[in-house]
Amino acid sequence: MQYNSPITPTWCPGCGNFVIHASLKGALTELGIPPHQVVMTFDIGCAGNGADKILGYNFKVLHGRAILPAIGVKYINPDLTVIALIGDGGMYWEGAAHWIAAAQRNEDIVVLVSNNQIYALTTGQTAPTTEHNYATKSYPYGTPFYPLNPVAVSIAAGATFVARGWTGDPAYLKELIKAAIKHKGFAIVDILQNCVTWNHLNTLEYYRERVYKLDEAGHDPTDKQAAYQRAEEKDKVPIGIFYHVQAPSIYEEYPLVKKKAGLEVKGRSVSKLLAEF
Amino acid sequence: MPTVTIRIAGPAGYGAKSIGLLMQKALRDMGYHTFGYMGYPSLIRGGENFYQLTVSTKPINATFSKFEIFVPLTRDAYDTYKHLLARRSLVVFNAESVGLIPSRLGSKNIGINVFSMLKEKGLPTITQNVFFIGAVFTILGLDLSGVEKTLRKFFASKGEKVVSQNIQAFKLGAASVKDSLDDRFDLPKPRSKNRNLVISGNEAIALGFIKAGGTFYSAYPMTPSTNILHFLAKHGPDNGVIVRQASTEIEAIGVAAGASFAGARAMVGTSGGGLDLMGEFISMLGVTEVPLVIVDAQRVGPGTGLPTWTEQSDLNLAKNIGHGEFPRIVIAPGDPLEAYEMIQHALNLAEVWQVPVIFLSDKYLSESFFSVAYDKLNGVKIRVDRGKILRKVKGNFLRYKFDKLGVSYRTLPGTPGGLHVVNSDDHDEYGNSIESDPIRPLMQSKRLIKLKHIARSLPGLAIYGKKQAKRAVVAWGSMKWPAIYLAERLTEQTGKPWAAVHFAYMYPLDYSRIAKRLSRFSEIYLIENNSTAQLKADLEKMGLKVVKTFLKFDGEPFFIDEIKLG
Repeated sequence: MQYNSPITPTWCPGCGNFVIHASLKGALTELGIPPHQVVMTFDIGCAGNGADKILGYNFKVLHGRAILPAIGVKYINPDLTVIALIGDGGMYWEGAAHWIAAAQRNEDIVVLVSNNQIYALTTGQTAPTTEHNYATKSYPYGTPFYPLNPVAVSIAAGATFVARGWTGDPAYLKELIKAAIKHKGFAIVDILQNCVTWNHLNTLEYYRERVYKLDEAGHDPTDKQAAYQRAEEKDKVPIGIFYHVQAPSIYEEYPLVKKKAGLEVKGRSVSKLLAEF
Repeated sequence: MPTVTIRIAGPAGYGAKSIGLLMQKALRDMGYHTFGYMGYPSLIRGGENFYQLTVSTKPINATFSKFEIFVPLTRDAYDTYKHLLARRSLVVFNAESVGLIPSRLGSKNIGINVFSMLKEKGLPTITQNVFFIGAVFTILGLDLSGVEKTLRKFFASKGEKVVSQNIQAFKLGAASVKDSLDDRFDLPKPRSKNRNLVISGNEAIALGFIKAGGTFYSAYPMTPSTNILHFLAKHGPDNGVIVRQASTEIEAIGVAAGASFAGARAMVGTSGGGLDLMGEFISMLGVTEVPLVIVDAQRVGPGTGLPTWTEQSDLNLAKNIGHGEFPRIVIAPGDPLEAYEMIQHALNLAEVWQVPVIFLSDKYLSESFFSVAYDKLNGVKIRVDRGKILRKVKGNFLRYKFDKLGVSYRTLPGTPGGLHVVNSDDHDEYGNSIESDPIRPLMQSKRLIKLKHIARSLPGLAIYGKKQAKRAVVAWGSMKWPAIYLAERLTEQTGKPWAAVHFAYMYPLDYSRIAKRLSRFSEIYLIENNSTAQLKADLEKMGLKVVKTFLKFDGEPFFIDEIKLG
């Protein structure tokens, strides 16, 4: 496979990140996108450690900041497929301001969030998505607050493609990633990812009993109110596309981006501008 | 040198800055040299904006601590600044809004019933600003024949009605004082027929960015850097510059890092507090070797400090910002001409060496309006140099290939065969992450070796004054001209030649080369616009003896006449 890297992954055996990478490689391959046309940005954490485990023009960034260079790349070369890979801690806490701003502006990038509901690489602290009362190393007597709802917040912030995937269903996840890549505008896929080492609550078995597919349940992804309702479900866990609408991405309103002016670096004349002074 | 200094002051919204700038442009059009300095206190009571203009027949690049001509737009403005009136002075004011002004020894008051006169001609009160220009120019006995053209150009975008109202107000102002010629001020007829630009440091930076082929600028608004954003936002679409207002300073630099990685020539702008926020990304630029220019228009810190006033207090920050050890370049231009030239150089240096370049301006340089000879600025020729970019790849590509000078080829995304990881983790030559590994010391040394070569290649410092001078005033960044004027005064007063030494390339410094150039100076005075003399440690490391240090940190720059000698 043209996306395979010679570097051996460092994830635990059975880690959901293997599934995410396999689904991503499958999606890119089926869409016929060659690796040199793909920019992937990586955060810090187990998801971020994938930076050299898949081939592309990859940029490993800082914690919470992975989506920022992704946005910048798209302003300069909109022909590229730009994907940010980030964990729940990076996206929903450390980088939450960037998440909200990018969704609001409908920045044309794909964000794949490895959401294992725990801080794993730092050995098991509470994450923004950790369930209430779940005991972690930072809250050993139980997490005293409720998890953030990334799907509902993404929709409210203005994202135009909001989906949830699950590492227990790689084929379905691959289709969601393909749809996210094809979408013009801000696409976020919150991926429920099993962590075999630090999260013993939200296991594959836990979700196998709870997940159902939105498209099979007759959900209309253009219906914002219905999307919010599905996002608020507690007992059952919907996966699939919650919300998907077409809205002009910032690039379509910016002629300089369209014609890739950012790559035209050459000395210019300022004689006309000097007349102002 | 004959000069006249004029201050116009009034509350925010009264247009003190715009009359000042218009007056400056009108004087420039007559052939005078001018320097405009402004202040806009963020206070409620007594918070009067001012624009201070120094006019001369010779080049002038700073202003004075006092002014001879004062146009207070309100009573509060008069009360706030009357203590700064020069001994021989003139106050021109609207008697209907300012009231009676007590007479002072050596000072002449000209109160005019401006509102009544405007009303009689059906002119809006806002035109009192231009009325005062007519009045002041007439009192100074200036040739008014060209002013109408200046007004026309200045107000053109507001439509013909506004243009003609202002021309009428100007004439009315001139007529109102036609018998009040004041010949106490020494302002000879201008001789210069050369074209001079009236330009601020921020405008020069923005203009240089366009000239040097800059294609991406991002910023979060922060005084006093914001005018760079305004200028580029306005002129970007016609000049190929993509401008993006960010939601935070962190976002500004993170997005710019991606733009640079993708192949743009990128820059961000902020002030000290924003630079603090960018620190983590600057460190990341260090390890990933992604080029970027970061403009810091300094203001008074720490904390919010005095957010609209000037200070040179971020030099140590710029030299040290970011965790870990990595090369960077720090440049601090001395005036708009240097800002225009050096920002172009900075953009080249960032790409050639693949390092972050921190470009230090400050409120004083960024928002003061200098006269710059058109020919000089237009004559700056710097070739765009993007360094090592590989457009076609044959065989294996190593993004961080070991190199004698520390700089490896980069490929832009989209280039077949050039795949790699630009990696914030330390990495091998491909860019793949490493742990504790024999490669790590080699990779760290590969990056750090750049510093030695950069230090050797930078232009060093500039010395102004006579070759035989054995004494010097040393300054950096925007204190260039105050240092030059101080050296001139010292020369005059002591009868011995003094030179001025100006540092613009602040880091890395080639100590031995600089020490050799400065070895002739046995007596050194240092002036800095901060409270701890941040350049002093460097001078001492070079074995130079600083005899006297002049520091100013009240939020204002050093004025020409300020340092008392003897």
